[in-house]
Amino acid sequence: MPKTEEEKIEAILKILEKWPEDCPNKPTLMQALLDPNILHSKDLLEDPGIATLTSTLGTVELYHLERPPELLPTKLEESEIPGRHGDIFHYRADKSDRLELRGLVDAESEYTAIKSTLKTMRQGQDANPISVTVRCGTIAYINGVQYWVGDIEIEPEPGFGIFWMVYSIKLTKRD
Amino acid sequence: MKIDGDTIGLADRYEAQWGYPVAKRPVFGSQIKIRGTQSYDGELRVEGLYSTDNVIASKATPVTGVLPSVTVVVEETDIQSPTPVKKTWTFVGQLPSFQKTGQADQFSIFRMTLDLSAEPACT
Repeated sequence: MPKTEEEKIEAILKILEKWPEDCPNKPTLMQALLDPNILHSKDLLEDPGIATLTSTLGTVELYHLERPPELLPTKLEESEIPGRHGDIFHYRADKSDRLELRGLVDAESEYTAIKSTLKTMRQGQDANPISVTVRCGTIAYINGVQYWVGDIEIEPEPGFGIFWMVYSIKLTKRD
Repeated sequence: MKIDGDTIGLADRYEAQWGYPVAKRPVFGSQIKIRGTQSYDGELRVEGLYSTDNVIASKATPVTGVLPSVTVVVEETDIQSPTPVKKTWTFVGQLPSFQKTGQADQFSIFRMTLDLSAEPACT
């Protein structure tokens, strides 16, 4: 962890260098110095994205994550009783937690990372589990948890002169 | 001021604005929004005295279902030393809105709004 001001500036520069060059929303050094929280890196040693998906086959950084909703499903067995209104359930167990990563890309390199790198990682996820980290500010509240990567949707939006697409990545926790 | 070559000698005032709106999207866990430059938008608003030779209203009528492209040229004189310089602004767009008002014993006024299809040019 960087301690001196010199080390902190050096760490900030290293994180900024990891951002794709073609991203128009890449933070400037001035922005990062004034507000290091925008780097989503508590110790200034982490990945540059708000969310990171990584396996031995590659790493995908999601720089503009908008919504990461979670679903905590359960196995409830339903009993039907003739003549009785309402439903009766029996709790059996929890199902695997679901996570969806929704956000947008504004650069071709970010699009390619999802379309190509993440797809390659998904194809090999049986033998190479994918770990997911999601940060709220600088706090990684989902930290290196293994998920199965499911369907990926990418939807381009009109009216922009650059790559501007929203995406959805559906994940199921590996239990 | 000329509209498709016809001189409108009684235009009193015009106001134009154009630009590329910026879409601001909040991201998770941050109070700094990301920004995306959106598509061009602009309009030219003209107000003046209405006269019987005013031809603007006809430009606000669709031709075979489509509003025609209208060119508005504004000539201004930029007074600068040593000699005044004439500047010509050219606006191109469609005319989805035309307004005419009148009052007894007073004059009639027209207002039009040109929806710009391109950035204006100044020569």
